[in-house]
Order: sequence, then C-alpha cells, then structure tokens
Amino acid sequence: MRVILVDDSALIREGLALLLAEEGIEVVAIFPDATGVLDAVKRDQPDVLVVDVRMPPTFETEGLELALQCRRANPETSVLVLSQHIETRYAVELLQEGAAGVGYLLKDRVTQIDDFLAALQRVADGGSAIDPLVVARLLQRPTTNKALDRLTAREIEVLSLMAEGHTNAAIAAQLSINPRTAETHVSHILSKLDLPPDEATDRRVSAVILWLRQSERDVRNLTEG
Amino acid sequence: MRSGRLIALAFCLAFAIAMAASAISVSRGSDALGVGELLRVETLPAESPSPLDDHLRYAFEVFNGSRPWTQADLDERFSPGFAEGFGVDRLTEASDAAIAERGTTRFVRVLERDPGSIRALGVAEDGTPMVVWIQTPKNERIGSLLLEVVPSPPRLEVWESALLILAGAGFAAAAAVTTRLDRDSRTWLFVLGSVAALCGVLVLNDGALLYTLGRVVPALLVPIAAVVLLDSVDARPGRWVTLVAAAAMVLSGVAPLFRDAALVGHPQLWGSITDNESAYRALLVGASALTGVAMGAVAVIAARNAGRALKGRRPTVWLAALAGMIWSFGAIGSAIDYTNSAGTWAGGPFSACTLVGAALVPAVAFARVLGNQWDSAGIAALVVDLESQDAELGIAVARALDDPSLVVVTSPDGQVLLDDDGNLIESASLATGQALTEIRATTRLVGGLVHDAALRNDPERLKAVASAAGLALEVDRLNRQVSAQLDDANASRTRIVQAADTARRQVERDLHDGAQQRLVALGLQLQRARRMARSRDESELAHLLENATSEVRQSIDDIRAVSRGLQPALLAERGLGPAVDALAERSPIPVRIDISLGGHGDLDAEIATTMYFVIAEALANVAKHANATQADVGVSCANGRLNIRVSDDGRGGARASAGSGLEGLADRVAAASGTINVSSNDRGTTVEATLPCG
Repeated sequence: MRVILVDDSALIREGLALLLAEEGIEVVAIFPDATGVLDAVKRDQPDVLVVDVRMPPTFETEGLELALQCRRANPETSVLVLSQHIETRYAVELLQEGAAGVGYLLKDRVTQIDDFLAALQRVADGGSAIDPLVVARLLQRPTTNKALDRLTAREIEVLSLMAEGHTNAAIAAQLSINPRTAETHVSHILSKLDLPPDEATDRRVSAVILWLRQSERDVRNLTEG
Repeated sequence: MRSGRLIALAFCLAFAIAMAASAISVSRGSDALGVGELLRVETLPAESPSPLDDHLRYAFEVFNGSRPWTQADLDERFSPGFAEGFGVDRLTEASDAAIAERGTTRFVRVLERDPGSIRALGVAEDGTPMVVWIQTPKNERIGSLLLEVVPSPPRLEVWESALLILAGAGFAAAAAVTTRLDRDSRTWLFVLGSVAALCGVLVLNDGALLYTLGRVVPALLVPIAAVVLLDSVDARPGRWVTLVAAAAMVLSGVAPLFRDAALVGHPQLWGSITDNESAYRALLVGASALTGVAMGAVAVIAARNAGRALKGRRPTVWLAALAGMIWSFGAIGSAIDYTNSAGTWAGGPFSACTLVGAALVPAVAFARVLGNQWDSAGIAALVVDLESQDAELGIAVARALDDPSLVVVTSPDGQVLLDDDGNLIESASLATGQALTEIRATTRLVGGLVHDAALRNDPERLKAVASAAGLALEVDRLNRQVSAQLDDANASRTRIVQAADTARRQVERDLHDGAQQRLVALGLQLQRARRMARSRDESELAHLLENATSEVRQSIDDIRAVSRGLQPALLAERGLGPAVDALAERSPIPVRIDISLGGHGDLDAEIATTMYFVIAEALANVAKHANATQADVGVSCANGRLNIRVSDDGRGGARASAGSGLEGLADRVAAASGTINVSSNDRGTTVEATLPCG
C-alpha cells in the first residue's frame, strides 16, 4: 500500500510514517500542509491520502477541503481524514462525494494501531471507515433514538458497524455471529429504515449516515443565514 | 415670628370689622341729628327795612350765646314803645328750653342776607323747626326766627369710606401674601398701611379721641406709600423723598393741636391746646404741599424707571407712577383749598384724588408681591422644566427670567466661562446693557448667565434662577461624568470578555497544537513499542505498554473535552448554526432549533460566541436541572436586535443566582451591550437574551 501523509505536526507526521513503514506500508510523501499535495497525488497515485483536518494557514478545515478536492481530482486515491475533534457534520460533508474510499477517524485512533491499520486498509480497498464515535453520537441523538425504536438491540449493534463501514462478513466476525445471520440483520434493518437493499458497502454507509442525520432534520428547521 | 404676624393680621381684620360697624352706626345717627345748621330768618314785610334786622341779629347772637347781654343793653336797643312786651327773658327761656331739650345748639355765622328779609344760618342739632319771635308792646308779633335744620354734607361720602376700606384691605392682603412668602421686611409696613387707611373711617365717630385719630392716623399713609411705591418700582428709597413724606405726616399730625373743631358740625378735636384757625390752616397747607411734593417725586422716579424695567414689570411701575401722580395732584389741590377760607375743606375732587391715590398704593404693592409670586412660579416652572429635561436650559432660563436675550454659558474647567461656540465670556467683553451673573456650586464655577442688565434690579429672582440653572448645569456635568465612566466601565468589561475569548482561543490552539499532538505522538510511539515487545514475545511489557497507551488516550479525551468547552472549533469553522446543531447533538434531551437570521448571517465573532455560550449554558442547565422532555432554541433578528430564546418544558425553578453559570452569562451578555432574562415556572424555564446585530 502506498500512502501520502499530510499533517502540520512533525511529531505525528514522523511517528506515523515510522509506524506505517514498520507495517510495510510505503509512505511516498509527507507534507506539513496542503501545498503541493494534489500535484503529488496526481504524480504518485498513492492508494490513500492520510490528511489532518486542521492545518495551516487558517487552522480550520483545510484538510477536509483537501480531501474532497483530492477525491474529485483523483478518484483512484482514497482519503482518510484524521481529526482531533469529532464532528458528525464533517463526516457528512466528507460523504457528500460518496463513501467509497473515504475515511473519517479520530486522530487518536492511531494509538489503537490494529483498528487504525484495518480502517486504513478498508479505505485503501475502496471501502469506508467512519469513526465509531461519529456513529455513536448519531445513534445517541434523542430524536434518532426514537426513530430507532423499531430496531432490536442487536440490530442497532449491526447498524453501528454498518455505519462505520464494515462489510457483512466483518460485522459477523466482530459480533461472533453467522454471516447469514448478519446478512439477515442487515436486510431487516434496511427495510425497517426504508433504505434500498444495496449490496455495496460504501453506498450503504452513506445511506445509513445520512439517514441518521436526516432523522433529526425531520424535526428541525435549520435556516442558516 | 410667624405667629406674631398672624396675630397682627388678625388684629387688622378685627379692626376693619370694628371700623365698618362704627361707620354704619355713626352714619345712621347723622341722618337725624347733629349736623343741621341752616337758619332762615324772616321779617314781616311791613316793617322793612328797619333796625329790626339788626335787632334780630342781636337776638341771634344772644341766642347763640356769642354775645353777652345785659338788661341795660336790651333796654337801650329795644326802646319802650317799640319792643315793649318783647321778652328777652322769654326768648332766652325759649332757647334755654331748646338747649335743655336738645343739648348743644348754637349759631355760627350769618351767611346771607337780602333786603326785605333777614336770613341767617345757624346750627341746631335738632331737625325740628324752631320759631323765635319778638313781641311788640301791642303784643303783636313783628318778626320771627325760623330755625330750620338742613342736613349738612356727611363727614365721609360712602365712596370715600369705600376707598379707605379698600386701601386697608389691599394692604392687609399684601401683608397676608408676604407673610406666606416669609418676607418680614414688607409685611409690617403693609400692616401699618392697613391700619392707617382703616383709621380714616374713624372720623365718622362722634367721640373726640376716635374722631381725632381718624383725622391724624391716615397721615401715616404718606411715608408708607412713598416707601412702598419706591420699592415696587425697584428704586432705592430716596432719603429726601422719605423725609418730605415724613414731614408731611408730622405736620398733619400736629395740626389738630391748634384747633378746637376741624369743621362745622364735626366733633371737638381731642388734645387741642389752642384754637388758632390760621395756624391750623397753615399746618394743613404745609402737610398737603409736602405730600404733593413727595408723591410727585415718587411719580417721576417711577416713570423714569419704567423705561428700564423688565417688560413684565412695566405695568406695575406705571401703576405706581399713576398712583403718585393722582395723589400728588390731590394733595396740591387740597393745599390750595386749605388756603381759601371759604373752601369746603372736605369732600370735593382733591380729597377724592388723594383717596384714589392712597387706594392705588396697596394695589401696586399687591401687584408687585404677585409679580414676585409669578416670578417664583416662573422659577418653579423652570425647576420642573429642568427636571423633565424637555426644555433646553437656555430657553427655560430665558423664559423664567422673561429675558429673551439671555444666554447660558458653561465652565468646562471651573475656571473660565465659555459660550456654545467656545468664546471666552467675561464681564468686560459684554455688550452694553448686558450683565454676567456667575453660577457657582459651592465654590466651583459651573457656568454663568449673560442677561439684560435690568435684571440686576431684582437680585433675589436672579439668584433663585441662577441657582436653579446651576443645579441643572451641575447635574448635567455629573451626568456626563457618570456616563463617561459608565462607558469606560462598559468598554473595559467588553475588553475583558474579548481578552478572555482571545485567551480561550489561544489555549485551545495551544492544546491542539501542543499537548494533544504530543500525546498522540506519544501514543503512537507506545504502540510501536508495544508491537515491538509483542514481536519479541515480551507479552508482559506489551501489556504494560498497552495500558500506558490507554492512559494516553484517556488524557487525550480529557483534553479534548476541556478544549471543546474553551472554544468550539465548529463555531469558528462553520458558524453558529452548525455549532448549535452540535450542541443539540450532544444534548440528552431533544432540542428543536429554529435559527433565522434573515440577512444577518454574517455575525460578529464576539456576538456569535456570546450567543453560542448563552445557548450552550442554557442547554446544559436544561440537561442538568430541568427534568424536561423537550427543549427549544430560537434565534431571530428583528429591528437590529438578535433575540435568543432557549426554553424547556421542565419543572422550572431556575434562578440566575450569584455564582451560577447564568450570572456569568449575564456579565458576558452585558459586555456585548445585550440583556438576558430568565423566567421560570412549573411549566418550564425560558432564558431570553437580546444582543445587537449588524
């Protein structure tokens, strides 16, 4: 796997590069900010662009914009956005171009190295990786809670894993259940939520995440200047 | 002092009533008795002209008591054969009987005679005609005296009494008003004037003492009037005018010492030491002349002052001039009248003028006192104007002082006076006819009035208005001072909040770029170490390192929580709506959000931060205390104000008590020139805040 790292923190940058190298992942380039990144991506065609959300010059959401630009310009390269704060809004913004090859993780996931590497691999393979914290927050919303009343506890567990971007097989493995059972859960959930039965994991992620956000939208009239 | 004046006023009132009563009783008696004095003498036509009239006249004089008589005298005058049977004794007896019956009856003078008849005037106090006749030896009546009483002019005409009482009442009223105003200097003068005028009615009384008082006491009016009139026209009471008036009073007062009775038909004068008619007349002529001079002088002074007086005062001044003029005319006329022995001495146009003049004096005094009252009313209106702050100070003061040219100047530094254009104002630099009155609060110069110099004639009024204006200027100065201090305090509070916000952002940034990154990097290294340990089968070490990584993660979580509370990145990165959205997402209670900013989406960062914290704090309180099932956040913008409303359906009981988060919010909102209000009842709590927008 070939990776380009973009992070304004030298410590993280170097530490991550070392870690990835140790895991046999090739870090083809490292950038302290967005400058030149798109050119490098075009030139080097990495599998994944790992990018921090907050970077110079404004230290706001440069990383997010960079990731979206990258997805549009280089659909072959997946993006994994790391953030020190988890905002469901940013996850949704990121998913507006589709969930395939897109990841949004809390930055400290790198300290849970196995999970991180798995997520990185999933994204590199064209899948999705949405931080469990984002999914948990969406599920915890009081309005979402009510909308989920029709789901069983197990189904909610499955829903969470679906939203994080796991395949049916991965879900079955994590819950230690039969893959057929997992498939059944998934189809039940999709039908209960009136979502189209779709085999593609990435579309499933978008649909579920947007549904979770949408369920709140229904009871809210948000008008921004 | 106050009760003393009240007693004096009560006395005046009682005196006036007594006067009126006495006047009524006396004038009733005079209709029947006492002043008849016309005697007609007739002779029988056959015997004319003859010594008879002379004899008759002689008889009158005997009858009159003005000529002593003897038998020899009678024998000589009335020779036997002519007046035989004429009984002087009888005559005398008849007159004596009349005297005995009627009291004092006497003849005074012969006024008129014409050929063919003898007519004489005499005095009888009885209204009944009397016939006295002379009898010839043949016992035939050759002449008769017809004594007939004809009413003489009353001592005071009704209108004269009325004028005196009017003057007395006017002075009493002026005294009453000044008492209420607490101005003792004039009150006693007015009381004295009232007594003097009312005493004039005493001439109606037949008692010598009261009658004499009635003739003497009114003379007090001359100096009193002089002083009052001069005071009313704001003239310094000239010493010589007062002296002349006082001299007139003295002459008038001593005159009765030189005469037994003032006029025919009047009672005896009390205290008379001699009966010298020419001295008496001379004194009265002198008194009247001096009165005329004094009053004329007053009229001239008043007329001269009228031009300089303030417009509002001019009617009073002209009235004073008129009073002096009329009185002066009357007094001069009376003086001339007194020199004429055939004059009437009482009543007539001159006496009328004197009385009218005297009656005008209290009117002038009263007008002046009322004028002062109006001035006070003007000052009171000024104070009201200034309190309501509706009127501009200069206009209000100009109105109160009745001086349209008036300008209020201020002293910014307590040292010099400046007008509105910043020009230095000094007494020396003023236009002619203008004067400057400085206004001081304690010793500090706060301002000044540039006004018509004529106002100096009324220092009390000027002083009162100046101090009211001074109060207003001082209040204005203090207001501005306080307002400036308040602005400073507000600005400094805003700066403090801004500084705190800046510090929060800085700390958040520092945590993000520093501690958080380092901890993440540390966690990375620990993970690498753990993997290394695991690859070397040092599972215990790997376990330890895993635990250490967990600790690091926990620390990162803690720091994240802190840094989020400091300054939510989303607010700066995506604005108020998404930030509030994120708050709702974290709330355990469903939150409905309705944010409509119209065209004001581009909020000032400080305002947005304040709004965010208001909503965050309110939602946190809902989650912690309200036991609610639903919360609502509304943000709207109307008329340049942002309205923020966070309500819940919980159990209420919220208070912005000291030290609470809401109190901290109140400070923060106030620093952004906003207000916050918490209302809470058993149906829930509502926090409402307004902030300026745009």
